[in-house]
Amino acid sequence: MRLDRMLSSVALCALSGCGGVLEPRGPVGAAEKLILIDSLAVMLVIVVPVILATIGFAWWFRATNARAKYLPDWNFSGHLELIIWAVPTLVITFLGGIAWFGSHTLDPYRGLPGPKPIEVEVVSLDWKWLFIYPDERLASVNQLIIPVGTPLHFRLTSSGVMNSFFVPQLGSQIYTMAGMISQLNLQADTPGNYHGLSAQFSGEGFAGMGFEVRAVSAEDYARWIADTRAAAATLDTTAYLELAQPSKNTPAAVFRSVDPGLFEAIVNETVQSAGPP
Amino acid sequence: MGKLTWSAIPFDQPIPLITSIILIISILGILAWITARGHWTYLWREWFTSVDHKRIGIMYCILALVMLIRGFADAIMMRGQQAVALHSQGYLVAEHFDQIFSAHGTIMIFFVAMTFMIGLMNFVVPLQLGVRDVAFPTFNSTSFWLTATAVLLVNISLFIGEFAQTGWLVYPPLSELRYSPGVGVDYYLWAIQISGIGTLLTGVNFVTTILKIRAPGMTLTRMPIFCWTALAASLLIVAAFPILTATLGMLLLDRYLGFHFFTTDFGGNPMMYVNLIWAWGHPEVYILILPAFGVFSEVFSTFSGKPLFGYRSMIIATMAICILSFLVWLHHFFTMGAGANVNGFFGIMTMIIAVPTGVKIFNWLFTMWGGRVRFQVPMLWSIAFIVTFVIGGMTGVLLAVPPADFVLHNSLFLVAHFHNVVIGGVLFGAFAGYTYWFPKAFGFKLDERFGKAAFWFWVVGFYVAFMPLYVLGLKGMTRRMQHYDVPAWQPWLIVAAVGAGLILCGIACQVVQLVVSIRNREQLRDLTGDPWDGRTLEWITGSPPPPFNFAVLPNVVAEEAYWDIKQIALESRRLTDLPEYKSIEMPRNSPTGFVVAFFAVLTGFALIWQIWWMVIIGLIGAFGTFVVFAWRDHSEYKLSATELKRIDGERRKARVALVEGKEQGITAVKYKGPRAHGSKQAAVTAQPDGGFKGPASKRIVTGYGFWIFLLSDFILFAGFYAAYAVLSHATAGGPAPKNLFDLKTVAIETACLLLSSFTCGMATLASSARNLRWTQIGYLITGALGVVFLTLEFTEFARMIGHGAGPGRSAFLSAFFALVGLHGLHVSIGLLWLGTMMAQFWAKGFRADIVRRALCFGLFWHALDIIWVGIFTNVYLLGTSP
Repeated sequence: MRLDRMLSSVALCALSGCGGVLEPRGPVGAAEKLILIDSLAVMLVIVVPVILATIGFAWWFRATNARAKYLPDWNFSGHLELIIWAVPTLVITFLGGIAWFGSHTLDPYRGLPGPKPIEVEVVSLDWKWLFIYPDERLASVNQLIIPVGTPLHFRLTSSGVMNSFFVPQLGSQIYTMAGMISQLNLQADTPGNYHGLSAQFSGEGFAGMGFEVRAVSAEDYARWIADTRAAAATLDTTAYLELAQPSKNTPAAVFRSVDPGLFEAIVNETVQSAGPP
Repeated sequence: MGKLTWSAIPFDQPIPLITSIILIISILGILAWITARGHWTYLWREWFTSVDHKRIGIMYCILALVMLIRGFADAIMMRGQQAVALHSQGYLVAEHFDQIFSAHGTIMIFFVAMTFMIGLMNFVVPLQLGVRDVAFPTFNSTSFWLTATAVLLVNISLFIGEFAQTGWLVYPPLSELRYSPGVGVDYYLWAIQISGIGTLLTGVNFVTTILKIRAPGMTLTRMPIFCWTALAASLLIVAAFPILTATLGMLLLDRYLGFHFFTTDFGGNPMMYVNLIWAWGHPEVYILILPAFGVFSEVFSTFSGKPLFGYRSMIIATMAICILSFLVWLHHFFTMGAGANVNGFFGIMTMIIAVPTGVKIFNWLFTMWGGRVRFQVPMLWSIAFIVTFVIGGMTGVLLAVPPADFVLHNSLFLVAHFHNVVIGGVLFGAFAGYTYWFPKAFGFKLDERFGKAAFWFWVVGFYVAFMPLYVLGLKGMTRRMQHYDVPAWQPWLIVAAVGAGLILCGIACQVVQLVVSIRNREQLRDLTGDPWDGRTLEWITGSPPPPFNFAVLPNVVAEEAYWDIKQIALESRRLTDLPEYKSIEMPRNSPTGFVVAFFAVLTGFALIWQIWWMVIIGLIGAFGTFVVFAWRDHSEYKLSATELKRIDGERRKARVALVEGKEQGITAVKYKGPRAHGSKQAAVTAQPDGGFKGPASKRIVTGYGFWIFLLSDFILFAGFYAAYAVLSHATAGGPAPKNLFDLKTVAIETACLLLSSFTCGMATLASSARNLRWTQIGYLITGALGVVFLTLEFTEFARMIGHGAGPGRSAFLSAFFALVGLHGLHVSIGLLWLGTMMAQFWAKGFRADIVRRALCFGLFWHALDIIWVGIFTNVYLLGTSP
């Protein structure tokens, strides 16, 4: 890679942000970022002094420093032990509180406040993502179109090996597991394109399991639904079985007339012969 | 030849092919050099067959260092790939990249970190305890050679076949036959199973050694802290490794015999694997880090010229970590969707571990306070450890907060975190220990200049390589990506690759350091045996120590046994009085470990490639080797008092220089007022030996060791039972327990086994009365009942399989056959053992070691009985109850 391109990408990153968990675009991601920063700050209060003390103590008590007092048998102090045990305990009590309440308020299964959520069914295939909109009977591959400001309720499963559905800028990830349904609630507040990926290694084509999340306005979302209904290919059992064949770096695609029972059939593994060769 | 064909050799893949050819040529070169110099006899007699804990420890460390280079080669290839693979495939195809990161993790954890720590434990623990060897020296050698077997198998996979492409913990369903049909996962599984047996034996060996074999007066609270951490790690091995064996065993059954533990069909439960593997995996990280904590404790104390601060507090912290480590496994998969209460609980438990760990950090800090800190290489590693480890600990606690983990799980932030604690903790500890104990092992110090250069390259390289990964994790980059299409990631990946390059320079410095030190060994020679002004007993003996370590076991009267003896000697400027030497017996060398490992390689390789005749040869060979070992008449050799006096006299002569204060920097310490510890403590104790009289008898040691082994065996069964409990309703439409079991047959089986336990007890009684005839009759009936039990069980199995209720029918049946079959396998092994023992009684009579083994057999047989009663009630009775 040439230096100028490298520098420009660094500059781009600094200017426009590069889509990490520190630049959340939804309420879940924002709350998680806050917890992350808060916990880090609390711990830095101890960690920084400990690092400084380590270097400071070692330097001051260096063997060549005649001014440092040598206490060859000072090996216990009850008061100090009390403090030594108490300080980390207090910090952990505080952080434990954050962990407990955080894992309740940000439980991925917990619905978000606001209008009725949009249902999305997610299937991880080898090696791509299938998103089903059961209410619209639409589906898309490696591309998730969502309206901003509306809660999303995901139900997720896998056709085979385990994956993890993750859009860093929206927040929580969750595993997709064959024969099981996991759930996730997310929301995007700002229109934009966000990078999504699988966060659980799933075999040869894993690196190509990135997908694009397009958060659009309600009107654009409605238009997308109408366009897809009009133009896209249908997704029946045959089309699904073909789609489920292992493939790498699969391009985005959309489908209409999705069989309403498809997701449940995948969960129950009753779609015929969906395994790899 | 089973599945093995010429296509297994990667002729079409230049990178592994060229690497293996270079490796093979260099190995042949080394072998040719050894042959040309005629070193084979020396190596065989003094090393390969050695049962000396010091030699074994050194071999472990050499193995770990070699594997560090292999694992690092994988690392730098990955860093190189990710530095270039933006919008491109880079230079490694996915198939190869996936093998590399799987091999990197496997090798670094099992064959570098753990091997190094076990090596240090081997070398140091008996010396620090003031004794001559571990509890079971030949098993110790076997443990090492089994580890070497696993190393060999993993490296063979480079040239013949492939390695796993699943990550180092081979999560199903990806690792199931359906998704990974190649031999890669099998290489992983068999290698880890074989090394796991070795590790388990090490755990049993060291628990027994530390609890039963210590110098007179070395009470538990006078033990050096490294021994405490070694004890904690060994206890964790005994408790955790059976879980690994059970889990991987289930996966093997899935892959080889069509069971359904973790498959996605027939009721299998892949998430159970994730739970089970981390129930081992989290304690495992403490198996690695606790001995490293021990090393740092020794180093901080020695190089600060002070006793360890808060010794008892350190013991409490160590043992607290030991227990807590079993209560946190779920934090490895908060993102499975277990629910807020479960996630919250495990998050808090995880954080609680930070408390004892934090206490340790503070205690090390206050060990330096008021000290005279010498910045020699081991101390540099230790200081860098604290700085690095608190950062790693902090990010670890951060990941323990479930909502934070939801966005950081499996990201490069996580990768940075665990490298931060494993490199900053375990590896720095290994390097500190390596530099610290090197002069003890070889009689000369390592070169200081190259040591410092290596240190700086490593530490700076570590920060340059891993801090960018934290950033990348926050930018949403996940781990194990062969290529990516986010341009913002690339600059950071390039920096990380530069960091890996710096670490490479560090490794190069370490290699040069070793060569230079060997060359300059005369200048670097440690003549007194105490090069660092040490405080624990390993420094009282010569460098390198004689095979027997101590001519006379030292008498311990306080903590820091050696420090007090040294101070008295320095003050009075004379050594202690000449002790009264008595002849001693030392264990003879034995090729058992090496030969067993040879057969283990055969067996492992044959199992991977499914060459069944070779499997049988390997198993018979390994069993036969143990029988031959058990048969030998002379297991020890004698060293006369005069010989001991001569050897020890030389050591004392060399130490005079130390006592006279001629050794640089070693002088008597001027204490103000009465001594806070040591002599004062000894004075207040009525018994100077603290009630501990020294090493226990062989009978006690053998029995104790076997109890510890049985404990681990119970845990193995518990693992299979847990799987059964989870899967007992996963009948997948097949038969349920209610209409499957034939209680009548099982009741007869139970009666047979109970009765055989009784006759076994009679035989044990007869053997303690030295009545050979009744002993043999008792054992004969025991064996006959065992055969009846097995026959009935076998017909019962055959009946079920005949009715279409075989293990492949449902997850429930898989778990049932595995659990009951495991017990049956134990009974079969028991019968083999029994037969061998009876033959020995017949041929050799009541020889002490045979009687000791008979005692163990009795324990084993009764344990099988107890386990069977558990299976009978929980599986059969409860299963059929309405």
